[in-house]
Amino acid sequence: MGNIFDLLIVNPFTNALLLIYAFIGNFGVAIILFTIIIRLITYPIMAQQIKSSSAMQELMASEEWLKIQEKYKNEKEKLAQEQMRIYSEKGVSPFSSCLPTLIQFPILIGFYQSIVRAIGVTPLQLLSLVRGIYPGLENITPNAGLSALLPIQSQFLWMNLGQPEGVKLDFLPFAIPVLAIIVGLTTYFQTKLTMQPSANPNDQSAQMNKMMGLYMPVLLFYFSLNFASGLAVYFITSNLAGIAQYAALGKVNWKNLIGVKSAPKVIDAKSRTSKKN
Amino acid sequence: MKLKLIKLIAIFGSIIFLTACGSAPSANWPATTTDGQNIYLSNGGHVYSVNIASGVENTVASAEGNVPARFPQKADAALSFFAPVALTADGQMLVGNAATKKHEYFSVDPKTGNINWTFSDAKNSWMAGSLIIDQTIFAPSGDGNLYLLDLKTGKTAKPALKLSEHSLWASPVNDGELVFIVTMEHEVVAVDKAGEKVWAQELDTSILASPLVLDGTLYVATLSGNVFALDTATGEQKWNTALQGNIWGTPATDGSSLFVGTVTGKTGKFYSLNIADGTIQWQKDESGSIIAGAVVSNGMVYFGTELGKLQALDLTGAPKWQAVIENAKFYTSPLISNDSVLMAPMNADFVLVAYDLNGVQRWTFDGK
Repeated sequence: MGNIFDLLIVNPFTNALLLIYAFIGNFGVAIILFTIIIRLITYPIMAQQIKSSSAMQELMASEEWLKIQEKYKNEKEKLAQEQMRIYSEKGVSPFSSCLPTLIQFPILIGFYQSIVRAIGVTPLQLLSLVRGIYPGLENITPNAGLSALLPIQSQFLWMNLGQPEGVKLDFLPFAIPVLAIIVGLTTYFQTKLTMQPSANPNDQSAQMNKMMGLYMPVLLFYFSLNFASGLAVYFITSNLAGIAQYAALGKVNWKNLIGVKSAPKVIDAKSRTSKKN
Repeated sequence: MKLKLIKLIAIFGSIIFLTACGSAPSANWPATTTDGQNIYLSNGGHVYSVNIASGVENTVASAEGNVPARFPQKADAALSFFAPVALTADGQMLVGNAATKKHEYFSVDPKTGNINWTFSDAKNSWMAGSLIIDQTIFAPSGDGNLYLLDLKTGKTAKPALKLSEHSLWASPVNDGELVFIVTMEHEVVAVDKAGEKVWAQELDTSILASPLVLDGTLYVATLSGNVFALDTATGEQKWNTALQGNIWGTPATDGSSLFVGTVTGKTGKFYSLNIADGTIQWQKDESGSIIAGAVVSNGMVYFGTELGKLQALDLTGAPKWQAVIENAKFYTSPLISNDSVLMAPMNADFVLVAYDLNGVQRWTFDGK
């Protein structure tokens, strides 16, 4: 399984990353460019996910939906049947917002692994990198040949991309993890800005979204603190690109950032049906 | 509702997956050193000390009774060891930390496990072994510096010599006059005992293994599969032979031939070269890659493959015996000591295995 994943995703990604590096000559910029390219390639999937998610939100805020929730609150089976009927009538699939996310995961995981592999901070990792380089790569540019590629210039701005980052100041006994802080902040902003308002802020899904908004920045901050800074560059670029993509679709929720609670647009079933028509 | 829960689990699961798949930056293959009686194995969380005759881990007396003589005594997430230890005449064991966050270099008493001193100025992980000349330690670090440390105190004897913008992974060697260090940036550098650079020679690509020095010639194998013979005094090239595959290990010699293994994808080749002019005398195909350097002893040459095979050949290339550990991988050179061939496999149920000189297994050590 691991080999197939390597063959189909990690190796092609690693080679694409190395090829960009061969042209650019700067591994930090190569990570940024490749992250943006991957984000652009997965944009249609993401757009579909956002649309499906919005459709679900609108449906759940509709009068008809709220009515059946109230009417059958003590009859779970009947409620489920009614919900399925509405899904079917409105042409909304409860899985349609989940599926694109699942498709994106292998891509993101593969990309993550290709960065780790390309940085190659130990002989074992370098062995894996050298083995994965396509033989024809140097035909595209001589800079993609083994002699020219290695060692990969892992210095980018003030950081070594193969090491966790920290800025040391003379008057402080510890290094300031600037990149990890930026990762935490951009993750927080991305989660806040892209969170869709819930029909009922007290329901479990709204609570979970709220939890995600708190845990994800902390989690990614922790990873950036302890792992190679090349990954932090990827996280930051990915977060900013994610916000830009949501903005392009007009789905950025600026009010979330300044703490103004925005209620979802409540629409009745009729208007939704007519919109569709 | 359920979907949200599934999404949340999927996201957090993926993050944990990413962490696991990303492989810890300090993950590497083990390294070994011997003092003739004991083998010292640097294998991640500990440096183990094992008696070669018995295969039993050495012990040290403590308040809790006899405990294994390993360093550190208790595993510490901030410490990992993949560099071969250097053993000094005055009984010190020197090894650097390969972990990503802390970069200490330790002098340890191998008999007690106590730390004598610590050097903490390096800015990256330690993967290479050190060389001791008189009272000076030549220690190449992951931050690209060659540190010259005082053997007694661990304090810098001279300012560090910056040799590379990249990690130094190969242990230095010397010929009694000069110390030779190779870099990922394609260079072989010679420094004198005072730590002054004498010459530097640029080769075709990255050099991952320590060179071999013999009778005024330095034999250097590069990742692209070239073997170079350089004059030790000047760095001038005497000859160069291109082999098929990448070279990751140090060449071995019996004095008249060089023995070099290569990596050709998932398979390997093993070569014998004439040491005088580099011509290929014979070669053999191997079903597994040969990552680590071979070892020559008593008219035999030994090497391990990535398919867990230890191969013993005579010097004409005729196979004498082989030992295979299913699913294991050999990335570390064999050690010959006390009439034993010692191997440190990866992916096996044990971390050390000893064979006699006929290939019969003597013992294994599981490191638990």
